[in-house]
Order: sequence, then structure tokens, then C-alpha cells
Amino acid sequence: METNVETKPVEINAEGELTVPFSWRSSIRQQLDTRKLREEKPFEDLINFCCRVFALYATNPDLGNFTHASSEPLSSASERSSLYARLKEAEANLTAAHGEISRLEKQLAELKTQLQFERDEHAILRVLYDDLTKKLSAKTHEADHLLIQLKAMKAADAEKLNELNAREERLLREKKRQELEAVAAATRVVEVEEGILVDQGETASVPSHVIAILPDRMLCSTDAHDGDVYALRWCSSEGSGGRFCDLVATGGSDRKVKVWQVSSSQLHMKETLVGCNGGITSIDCSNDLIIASSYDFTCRIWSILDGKLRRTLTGHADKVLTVKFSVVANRCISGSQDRTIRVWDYDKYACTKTLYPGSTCNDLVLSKGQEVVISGHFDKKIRLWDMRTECSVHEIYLSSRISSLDLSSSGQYLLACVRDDTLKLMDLRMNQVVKTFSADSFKVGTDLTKATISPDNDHVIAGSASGSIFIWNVNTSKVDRVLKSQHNSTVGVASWSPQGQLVASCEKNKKLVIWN
Amino acid sequence: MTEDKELLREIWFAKIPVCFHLASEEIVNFQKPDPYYLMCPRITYFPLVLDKVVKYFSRFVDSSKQQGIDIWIEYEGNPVKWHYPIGLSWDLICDEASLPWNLIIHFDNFPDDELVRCNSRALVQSMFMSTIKEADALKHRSQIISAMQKKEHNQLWHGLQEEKFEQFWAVNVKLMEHTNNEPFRCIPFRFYQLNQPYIQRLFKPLSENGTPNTLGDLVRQVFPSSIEDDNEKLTVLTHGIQPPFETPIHWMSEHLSYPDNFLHLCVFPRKSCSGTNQKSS
Repeated sequence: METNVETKPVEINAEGELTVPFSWRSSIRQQLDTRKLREEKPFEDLINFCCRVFALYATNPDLGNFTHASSEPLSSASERSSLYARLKEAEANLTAAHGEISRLEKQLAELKTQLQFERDEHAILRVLYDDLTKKLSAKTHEADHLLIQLKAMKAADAEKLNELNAREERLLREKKRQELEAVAAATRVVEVEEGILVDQGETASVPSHVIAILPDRMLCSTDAHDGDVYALRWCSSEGSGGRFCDLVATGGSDRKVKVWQVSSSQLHMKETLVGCNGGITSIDCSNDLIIASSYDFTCRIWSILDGKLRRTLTGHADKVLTVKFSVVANRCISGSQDRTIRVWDYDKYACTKTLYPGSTCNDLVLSKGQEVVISGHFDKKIRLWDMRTECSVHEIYLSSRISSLDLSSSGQYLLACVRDDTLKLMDLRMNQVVKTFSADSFKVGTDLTKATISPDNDHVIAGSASGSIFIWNVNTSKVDRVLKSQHNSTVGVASWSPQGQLVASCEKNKKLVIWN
Repeated sequence: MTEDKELLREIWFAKIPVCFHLASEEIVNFQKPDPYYLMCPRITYFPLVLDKVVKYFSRFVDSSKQQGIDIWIEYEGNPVKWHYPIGLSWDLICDEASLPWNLIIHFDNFPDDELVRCNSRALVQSMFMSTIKEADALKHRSQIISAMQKKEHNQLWHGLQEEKFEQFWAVNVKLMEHTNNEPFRCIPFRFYQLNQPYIQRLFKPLSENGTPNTLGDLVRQVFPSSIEDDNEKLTVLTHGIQPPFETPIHWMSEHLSYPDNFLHLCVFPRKSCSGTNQKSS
């Protein structure tokens, strides 16, 4: 590009000056001219035209399409054929797609009909369901109604039963009264006879004719209960010489109270009293009622005559260990392992009084005629309570815990069975121990072992852990007799019958023995 | 200086024919677009002339790239620097046989490692104004450009942008004036060689003994090994011409500078001895 410059070494400028020093300037000018010729002139018009065409094209796109369309056939025949091929391909695709669509439509129709079926079925099931629901609600109503009716009928039944019971009771009482009158008339003669024959030093309220016979042989025995026999009671306190004189009630761990009749060297089970949910710990009788305390925290009252459960006394918070009828009507008193003594009015099903000795009450007795309760406790104390003040009026402290108490028929002496294997006889007038009974082989077996005084107050009796029964003479404090070889385990209770002819004893292992 | 004013006009209005092609891999239409021809002013920059081209080609590229954020220009595999004046870029390549200049325009795959992204005219403006300020700092310790009002700065930019010679030179003449009849402190120039960073030195318009320095003096100073035995090994090209080595450098700065007030000089090794001897004998 540098070839076409500098043809003249010297140049004259427009003013005619000699411009040798300025030759560079003319060189530059010349080069600029040639540059213009080289770079601009050949292209300027063409490119400007081109730009105008493009501008036109930009403002009028249709024109552009036209020009393209006209130029296309010439330039791209092959392109067209390829486009045709693509078109065919697209058409084939389209038909395939159509086929697919029709197939899917068919499928859809099928599914729709199926759906319709399902819907119909659903509707039918729904109707069925509604129907059944209605029926169910109707039945429920009916059931409710029936339940109410049932309740009403049950209430009516209960009322009727009560009425019936009351009537029966009335009738029985009437009958008994008549019998008693008859018996009283009959015994008066005997009493007179016996009164002549026997004359005891003891007076007071004890019938003077009663003599306790020292038993020496077994009259009869039976397996009284399925488990341990804890409690035993002669039930003839009122029936003096009457039909009840030979009844023995026993209670055991099989939760039953059984009433036995002793007649001519045989034991007949007269009644089984059920209802307790725990073992029986103690029994008491009053007239034709039997009360029993139980491990199930309750005391229950039955009628001997018909063996029906009459009352259930609940309120203790632990095992009830002893219960006694009071001389006051409708009252009984119970002692429990919950360290309370409760006084109940059993007609009202109510606990009327609660005493708080603070120790488990193993046994209690009621003084006759007086409002005094004597209780023997686990804490080695005998407490005397005045029911009018509701507090302990006196305490007798013994050497070990007390398992049983018994009161002489005169009410003057109190016998306590103590766990140091002795029996203590106390004079309640002085509140002092007057006699102590013991023997070498005598062992108190359990906390429920009961020692009793004979009806004529001359002897005391108690069962030992070995199975022997010891009888002491009160006056000499010596062992008068030992009954052996019938019991094989701890004897819990031994007691004379109120008439003094028989002795009943029970042992831990089921057995009840009557001695003569 | 009427003839010089004529010369300034020649420099200002000089154009190069350019043919833009769209990068073939970025065409999404079936049809290949026709190339776009344009006469590009030498003194301006590519981002200022591409608007119509981009608009034309954007129809043929992927819709996500139509905004033209990633636009760049390729010449024979190399990206063209948008911040060089178009004339300088062409002079560096300098292959007159290939006129019009065939460039490929890209909308995608921006070569981030080689080029700075140009997103707006404002970027070009700030680049241009900062170059002018640098030039004035060399010439007048920034006295003139700093004294100018914002309006005059804008007039310079708009003169360039709209290719208005009178509007631009009405302001630019102040930058070219000799204040108090003193020459420029230093000459703002840059030497370019192909595929190398440009060279910029401090060079005074007058020699120590007061005689004006020439282009030859400048070349001798910057490339000491280039001249042996009165036989220059280098040629200097600017604006498509080869100014003689005896041209006073001060005059060149006044007349042959680009609008950014710099002399952008391309240097080539002289091809054999067939070239004419530039020195006046």
C-alpha cells in the first residue's frame, strides 16, 4: 500500500510556497486521497444501496417474503424435496396420532361405562346402608326402652322381695314367740329341778343351773371348711334349752359361714351363709342373726332361719378382725386392722361412731348392760371405752400382744389370751391381773387364737399351736385337762356351749371337733 | 489552516466498507440471513454503529439472546476489541485485498476471558471521555478539560456519536489549542503491534535544543533498535496512511489524532526494501 505515494520529492502548495520542508504534508494529503479511492469509492454506492434495500425490507416485511419466495425455487430444489419428505413424515405422525387418539377415546368410553356401573353399585349400597342404619337406630331405641323397662321391673322385683322377706320375718318371729312361750312354760319346771340340784357360788345374772362339764372324749368331728377355720361361735345365747342350743357357726378362709347342728353325736350342716369376698375372722350371734367380720373390709349379717344375707356394713379401710352385737338394739361394733373401732347401726347401714385406738384391734368384748367396750390390741394394750365419751377411759398394759378377750358371764372377770403363751384373768373392778394361766407345752398359735371362759366361770380353755387343748381350773390356776390327739394343727378357737355340756374346737386345717 | 481543516474533515469522514455475517451456529431459522453491508466511520466505535445490524440479525437467533447482551464481533477467529476505534482495528489487520471487511457477529458464547462486555452506550461514553481526559492530562495537565462545562463534554460525545464534525470540533479545538503559545507538554500517543499490548511513553514535542521533534524521533526513541544506517525497519500506519517520518509530531497530534485526542499508531516491520524511502533526500 505504500507503493503509490511520494512520486514527487518536492511539491508546491496552494499558496505557491516552496514546500520542501512541508513535503510530509502533501504526502499525507495524497495518501488520504488514495485511501479514499481504495477503501470508500468502490463500495460506497453499493453499500448505501444495499442499506436502502434493507431499510425498505425492514419497513415492509411482505416485500421481503416476496423476494424470498421468488428466489427460493431457484436456490433450493433439494431443500424443497427435503421439506416434502418432512411433510410426509409429519403426516404419517399425524395419522399415527389420530389412531392413538381414537384408541384412547375408546378406552375412555369403556372406563366411563365402568365408572357408571361402579356408581350405580355405590348408590345401591348406600341405600342399603341407610336402611340398615335406620334399622340399627330403631333397634338401639328399642334396646334402650327395654333396658329402662328391665330396670323398672327389677326395682319392682326388689320391692316385692323386700316385702316378702319382711312378711316372712314377721311370720317367723310370730312363730318363734309362740314357741318360746311354749318352751318357757316347759323349762320352768326343769329350771326349778336343776336349781335344787346345783348351787353355784357365782350369782349375778348367770343361770345357777349351768355346769361346765369337762370334756374327755370326742363326740364327733367333720371337715368344716375348705381352708383354715378361723372363727367359731355357739349360737344359742337366747335359746336357753330350745332348738338353737346346739348350733355352732364356723367361718373360714373359704369365705363361708357354716351353721352346724349337733344332735346325738352327729354334726349336720344346717346352713351355708355366703356373700363374703374374703376369709371370715369372727362370728357373733344375736337372736336369729349372725354377723361375721371378713378380710374383705366388711361385716355381713345373715338370718339363721333362712340363711339370707341381710346387711353388708362397709366402711373399714382394712381387714375387719372382730365384730360383736351390742345389747343395744340394731347395734354392732367391729374392730379392724385399719386401727379403728366402728359402731354400726345396721338397720340404717350406717357407721354411727368411730373410735381411734391407734392400733390394730384383735378382739373386743362388750360389758353386759353397760356402755363399755373392751378391746384387745396389737400394741399389748387392753383399752376400755366408755361409749358415751368416745374415748379410752382406761388401759391395761400386758406383756405381749393380745389375741383374744372373753368376759365371764358375771361380767366381772376378763380373760385375755396373750401372745407370750399365757392367759391372763383380770378383775375389771380393779383393772388388775388376778390370775395367769400357762403350761409348758402351751403355745398360742396365731393372733386369732381365742381363749374362752366356761359358762360356770370355773374353767378357762384355749387351743395350743401343737393341736392340744388345755383346760385350766380358775381357782387353782392348774391345768385340769389336756385334750390331745384329735387336732393336728394349731387350734384357733375352743369354746363351751352355753349349756356347758359340749366343747367345740376348730383347727387351722379344716377340722371342727365337738367334745363331750 | 484551511487546507488543514480540509484534512481534518477527510480524517473525520473516512469510512470503511464492512460486511457483517451472522455466526452460522447461532442461526435458528431455516434460512440463512443475507449479510449486512455497512460503511463504518473510521473514527468511531463498533457499539455505536451496530444498532441496525443487531436489529436485522436478531430475528435469526434464539429468542433468549435477542436482547443482544452478549454481542461480540469476530474476525478470522479472534474477537475484535470494541474499545478500539474502528479505523485502528482495521489498520492493525490491514489486509486491503479482503475489502469489504468481513466480520462475523455473535449473539452468544461471549469470550469472557478475552473481551470486556459492552452492554450500553454509557460504557462507551465513559471510556471515551476518560481517554480524552488522559490525553489532556498529558497535553495541558488537565487544565482545559477540567475547565470545560458538562455541556461541552456532552457536546464532544454527541458530536462523535452522531458523526457531526462541526459540533465536535467546536469544542475539540480548545483541546488542540496552544495555551499561551506554548506547545503541548507531552504528546498523547499509543503504538500498536499485532497481538501485543500497546506501548505508551512520555514524549515531548520539542527536543532539548528547541527544535520540533518528528515522527522519526518518536519511533527512534520508542524502538531504539529499529533504525540502522538510515534504513528504517519499521513502518507506521494511522488512518490508513503512512505519515512521513519527518512529519512534526506536534502537528500530527493536532491533526491526525482520533477524536479521543490520542495518536493511535500501528507499527509493522517494513516488508523488504521494495517500499519507498520516506526520507527526503
